[in-house]
Amino acid sequence: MFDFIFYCFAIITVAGAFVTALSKNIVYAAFALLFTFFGIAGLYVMANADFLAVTQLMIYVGGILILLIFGVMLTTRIGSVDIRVGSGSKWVAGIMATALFVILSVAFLGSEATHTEKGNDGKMKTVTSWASSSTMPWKNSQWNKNATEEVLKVKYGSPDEKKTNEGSSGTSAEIGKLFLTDFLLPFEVISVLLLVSLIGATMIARKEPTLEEEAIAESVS
Amino acid sequence: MTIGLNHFLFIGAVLFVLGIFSMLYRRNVIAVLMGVELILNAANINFIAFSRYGGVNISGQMAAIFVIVVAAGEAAVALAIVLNIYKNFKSVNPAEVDTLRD
Amino acid sequence: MHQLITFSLIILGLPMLSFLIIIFNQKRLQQKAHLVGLPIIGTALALAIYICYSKLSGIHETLNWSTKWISFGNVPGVGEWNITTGIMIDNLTSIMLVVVTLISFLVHLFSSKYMEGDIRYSRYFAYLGIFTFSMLGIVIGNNLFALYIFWELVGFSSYSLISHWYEKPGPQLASKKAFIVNRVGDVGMWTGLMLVFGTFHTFNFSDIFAAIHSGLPTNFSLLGLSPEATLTAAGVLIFCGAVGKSAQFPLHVWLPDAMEGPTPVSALIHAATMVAAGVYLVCRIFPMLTGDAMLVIALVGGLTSFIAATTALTQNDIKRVLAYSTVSQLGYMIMALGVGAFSAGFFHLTTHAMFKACLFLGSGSVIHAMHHSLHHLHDHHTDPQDMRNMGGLLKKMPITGYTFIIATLAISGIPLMSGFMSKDEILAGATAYSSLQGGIATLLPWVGFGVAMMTAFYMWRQVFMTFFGKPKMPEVYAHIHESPKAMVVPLIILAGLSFWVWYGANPIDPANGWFMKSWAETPAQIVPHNTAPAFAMHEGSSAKEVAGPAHEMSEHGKVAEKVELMPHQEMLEHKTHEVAGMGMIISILCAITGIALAWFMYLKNTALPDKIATMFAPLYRFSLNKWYFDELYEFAFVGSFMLFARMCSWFDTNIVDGAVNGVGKVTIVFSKLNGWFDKYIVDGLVNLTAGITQLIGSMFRSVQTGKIQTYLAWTMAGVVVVFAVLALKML
Repeated sequence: MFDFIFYCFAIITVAGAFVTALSKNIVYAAFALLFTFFGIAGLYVMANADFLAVTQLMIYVGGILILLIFGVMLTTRIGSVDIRVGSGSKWVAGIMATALFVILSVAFLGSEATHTEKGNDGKMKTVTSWASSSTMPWKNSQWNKNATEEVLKVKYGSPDEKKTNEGSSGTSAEIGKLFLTDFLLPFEVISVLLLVSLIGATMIARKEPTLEEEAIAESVS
Repeated sequence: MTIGLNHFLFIGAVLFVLGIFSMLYRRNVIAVLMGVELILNAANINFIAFSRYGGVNISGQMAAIFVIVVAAGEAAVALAIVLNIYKNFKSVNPAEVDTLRD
Repeated sequence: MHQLITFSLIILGLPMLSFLIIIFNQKRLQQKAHLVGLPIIGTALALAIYICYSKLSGIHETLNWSTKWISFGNVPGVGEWNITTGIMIDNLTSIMLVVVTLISFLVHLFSSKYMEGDIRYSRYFAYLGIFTFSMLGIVIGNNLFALYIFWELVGFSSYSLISHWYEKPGPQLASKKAFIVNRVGDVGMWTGLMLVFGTFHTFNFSDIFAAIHSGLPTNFSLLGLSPEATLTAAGVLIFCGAVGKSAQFPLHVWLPDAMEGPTPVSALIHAATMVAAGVYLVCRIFPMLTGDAMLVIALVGGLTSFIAATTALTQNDIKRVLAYSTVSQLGYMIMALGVGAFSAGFFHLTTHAMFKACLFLGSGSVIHAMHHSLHHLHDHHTDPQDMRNMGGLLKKMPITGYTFIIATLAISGIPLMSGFMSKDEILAGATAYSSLQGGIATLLPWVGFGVAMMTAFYMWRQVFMTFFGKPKMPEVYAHIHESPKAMVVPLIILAGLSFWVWYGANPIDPANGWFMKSWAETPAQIVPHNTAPAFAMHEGSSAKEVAGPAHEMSEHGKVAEKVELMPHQEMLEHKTHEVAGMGMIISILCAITGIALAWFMYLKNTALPDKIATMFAPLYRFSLNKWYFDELYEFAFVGSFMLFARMCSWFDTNIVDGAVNGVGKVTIVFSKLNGWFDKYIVDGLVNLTAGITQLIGSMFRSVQTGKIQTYLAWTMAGVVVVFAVLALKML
């Protein structure tokens, strides 16, 4: 059952993404993107990230996607030739995408670190030997060696222990706690960043008033 | 084969690659932005996957939240820029916006 | 400061004032410039006459006023060393002041009509002013240095006045010639001045004479000569200045050419005043002239007068005849000074200034009339100055004619005229000197009498050709008119001054007339005894020889009584008295012969001159071409200079330039090598670098499309490559 649902969401997501990337009609692309976002939200739920799934729906579907559709409306005259996205260097894009996909696939499929096995207790268990695995390319990098170890250090104990307690409570409480404790500074910084970017966006998008209009505005006030 | 880390990573890879393809191939800035959103989501899927199956735990979800916030800001600013480009170039084709060459 | 000194300073300043006023108001004054010049010079003339009268009648001593000019401080080996300048008024100065201002005034008056309508009328009067200023400066200075400065100023103003009509090539060349030839003489003069100054450290006349008289220092030496010979050299060198300015042989060539200037200028500068400056200079340095120097001066003067007189015989240009006559008369004066006849020389200077100015202004009047007549007939080809186009003008221009004849009588040496008196004294002096000196000096009286005869001949030839006989060009003659009053009045005044009465009571005894007796006394020569003329030695000298001059010298210039002269001067004076009577008779005979000859050849038998000319063709041409002096100088100086210049040029072209070019060629070859190295090795490397850069640039230029998606594609390609490499490593 879990697997089936996962595959459903996965198919929705990937199919939507394909349509988004390949559709010649920008409106279809936008619509396909909606499905992708929805599928991703489902995948989040599958991965025990309920809070994020909701956020995904609210922000992406309710905000960003609407924004994108507004952009389409504002910049494109419906029915005109401009609505066609045209074909660029398909071959270049295709080769690049394929090559990257191959590399990524090789990276996680060939890596021991990403294998998950069923533990003795019947629970899913990730092989954690990857943290010291020499197969990870950046593992031996002079620059990242220490950083990698720091990042990957298990801070909250064994994930498996956590998960057993998780079931009913969800992640919202944990995330709320973390925002006000360890992630307080990033939280504040990101909120300021959001504010600044919104103000900046309004500034940029604002129509520059002409001199006459300024004069009129002044005379009115 | 049970659903594991690799499944999530695979979906993420597909989304990432499609996003890259979109950015390289599409001739509409909005579509390019959609590609960007795809890439961001691919990244988010990876964060969540590692949060679930990797050793990163819930801090992966925190990172995903930050990505979403940044994506929101990015979308707003990027669309504002797109509107300006459209105003100045009367086009949303990134291939025509090549004044950077000069 | 004595009152007369003040007045003389005012006289000096007045012409300068005239110059300044006119030169700065040229445009405003235009044709009215003479209204400024005339009253100013008139005032100067009045003051000059007052000074002259006071000096000659009441004041016997020389007035001297000095002021410190340049202080050299305490010069090592010399002590306190100053150059002073100042004013000296003796009889010579006071008479010269009157002569200069009088002639200047009359020329101003004459010019006001003669130059009427000239485009540079005001400039002309301005320069007359500065000329007068310079000439007065020469006259009143009490030292050689001031004299030299004004001397050069005179040269300059003469230059500017000769070149008054500088549009024409003639005046241009003549002015340059005059200036340059004068410079030649001035070099000698300056050398002489330095020679004197270097030893005696003073330019002051009286100081120099006092120093020489107190004994020549042994270091007074030029090029290792003995002090006595050096004194001779100094005298001759200073005399060189006079040779230039007074147009003496061999520098006489400029004066006839200077006739290209306006005729009144010729009268003022080239007859009466500037050329007299040379004579005046010799008068000033007369006391320091040695016997040898005097002999040189006498011979130069005699030779000049002879050359000029023979040249004047055949000239046809009315002004050129007068020019050569002037040169000849100046030679007379110089000769007079050379033979020790100081009074006679200076006397002749004064009388000559009057009658020659009269002659020049008269010729100006004739030229003016001719010019206007020709202008009236629209004839611009006939030379208004050529005497062959004149004739019979006496009836048309009676005042000009008669004054001209009076002046001619004076220059010919006819009794009752001033010229007779002065010339007679010169001839007597020359005769006395030759009989005492002997040797080459015996030629001098012969030259003197010969020149007197020739003078009478050519002057009367001129009078007959111009004023008598039949008019050669009747149409021109018909339109000749007497000149206006402003022009004839000066003629009348000058003609009046050509009579004897102004210079002495007895027309046939000039030596006892007041001019020579008391006005222009011969100063004592103060040279050492062993440098005095040789005859004084032979004659066995009296006791005076030893004691006399010393006493005299101590009060030189202040002694009112008869100055005690050197023995040789005494002897000369004595001898002159002896020969005066006989000389006078011969002189009159010569003059009458000359006049008769002229009358016979140019009135009685007019075909005769041509016959004689063909008979003595070489001699005629020799004279007509002025002894070929110009050609000789052209050949000797200009030619040799050109030859030398060509040699230098050849040397320059072939040797110097050759060497330079050789060096140049070596440099060029080296440079070419260097250049090749630079071009192909150094530049090659640089260009290679640049080329490679350019190649790379052009390769990568296409990458810079400005399209974001292309950039992104490249970025992705980079990522792919990096991962591919890592993956390969990993395998």
